[in-house]
Amino acid sequence: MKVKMNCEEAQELLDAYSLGALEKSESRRVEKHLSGCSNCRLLYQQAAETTALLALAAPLRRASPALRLRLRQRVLPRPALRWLPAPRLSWASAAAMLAVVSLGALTWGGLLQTQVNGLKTDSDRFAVLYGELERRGETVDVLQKALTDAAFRQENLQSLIQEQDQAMRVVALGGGGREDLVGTVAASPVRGSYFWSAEANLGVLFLGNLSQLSDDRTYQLWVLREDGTPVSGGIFTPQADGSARLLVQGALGGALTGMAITVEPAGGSETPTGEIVLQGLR
Amino acid sequence: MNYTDCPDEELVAQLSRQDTDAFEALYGRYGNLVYSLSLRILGDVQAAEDVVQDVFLRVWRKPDHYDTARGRFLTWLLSVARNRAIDERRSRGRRQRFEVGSAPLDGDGPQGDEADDPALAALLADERSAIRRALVGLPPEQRSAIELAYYGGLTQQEIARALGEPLGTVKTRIRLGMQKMRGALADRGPRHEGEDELRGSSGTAGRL
Repeated sequence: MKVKMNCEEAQELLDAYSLGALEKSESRRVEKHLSGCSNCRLLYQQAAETTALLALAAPLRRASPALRLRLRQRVLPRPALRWLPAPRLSWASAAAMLAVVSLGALTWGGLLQTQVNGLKTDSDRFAVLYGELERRGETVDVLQKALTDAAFRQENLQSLIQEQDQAMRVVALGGGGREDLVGTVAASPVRGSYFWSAEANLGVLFLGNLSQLSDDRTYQLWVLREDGTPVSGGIFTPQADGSARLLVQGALGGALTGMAITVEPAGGSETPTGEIVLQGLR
Repeated sequence: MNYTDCPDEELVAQLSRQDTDAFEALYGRYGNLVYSLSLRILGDVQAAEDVVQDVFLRVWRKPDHYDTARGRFLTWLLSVARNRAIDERRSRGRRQRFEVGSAPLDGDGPQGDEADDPALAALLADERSAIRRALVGLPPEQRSAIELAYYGGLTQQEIARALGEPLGTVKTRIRLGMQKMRGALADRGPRHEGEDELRGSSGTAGRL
């Protein structure tokens, strides 16, 4: 063990220390001295400020604008992943169906909207009725429950319409394109197509023939950034018929360079660890 | 919120609220500076860009690693960048030889891209020209010892070995050089108002 460093000794080393030019053992001895000597700490602060200025002596260069874009992409919020309403159609006909749906979008959307409005009228009527009953001092649990259920159904239906509507916009607006995802296992029946619209800033991923996983595993979507880094797009469970539809919202929906589906432990992973079941590159 | 006139420290505080605009503002201010330093240390565009990305993402993810009590944000940012770039240089050094003591500083005038870019040239212009003058004013052997340590990440012993000089000589050069630089920077005299372009001067660190 070396003798404790005194102030004179420490001060001789402060410049080299602030430059990071001391050997590790010397560095540690200086640190030890500084931790117990406020006077030398002050002198060190001065040395460190001069050292910090050296950074500014480097010839000034413009960083590439692409770097700024890359950073922007890294700090953007992750794409919000939402379930599309449970589909009753099989994946095989999904794309064709979507095309049909987009043609008849207004009618179909209008039909659903009529239903929502009907529900709303119902619940308004319930509310009036309930108010009447309450004024009479009667508690009608059954009625209250029916009212809550109706309101809940109405909300569900409303968000379902919105999501369908967004999916339709993706296809209807176009301006993006369609990518097919391919299975990575030979003869795998798993299929997938990704439609996106630059204008809607949105993409829809249709998946089919996914096998059901045990409870301790989950499917996870990954979107590939420009530099090839996979970013989690969220975890999901397919419907009973093996299909899934995912809505990818936000700038990444159109800007991503590829995507992949892996099987991960329940709860998902930070980075892909499991088998890739499906992938597509742009 | 006005990001243009916002002090650095406030922008950093915004980062913990996931404020991407504050992040962009910080990058807009210092991205080129961090890049220039990394490029000077690494001499490779791709590697320098990687360092810039690492450093700014670190600031984004862990803004609380910067402690306002310990001085200005810019001082901290540049020291994080310098250390990161030196680490990278060392790890590459195992694979490839770096030229030692490259010193593209030819005078205290504009260097790099700033000659044809007024906005770039205006960035911390006073501080940059002061440190350049101070460096250029040093005897070449003192300046080179300091540059080898700061930009090359070499220890005094490694510098002595690289130059074939006694360790004591290198130690003296570094000490004298740094003293002289401090003197030259102090001779700039008290700053007058409007000269300080560094935003967010916390006052605790004094001059950078």
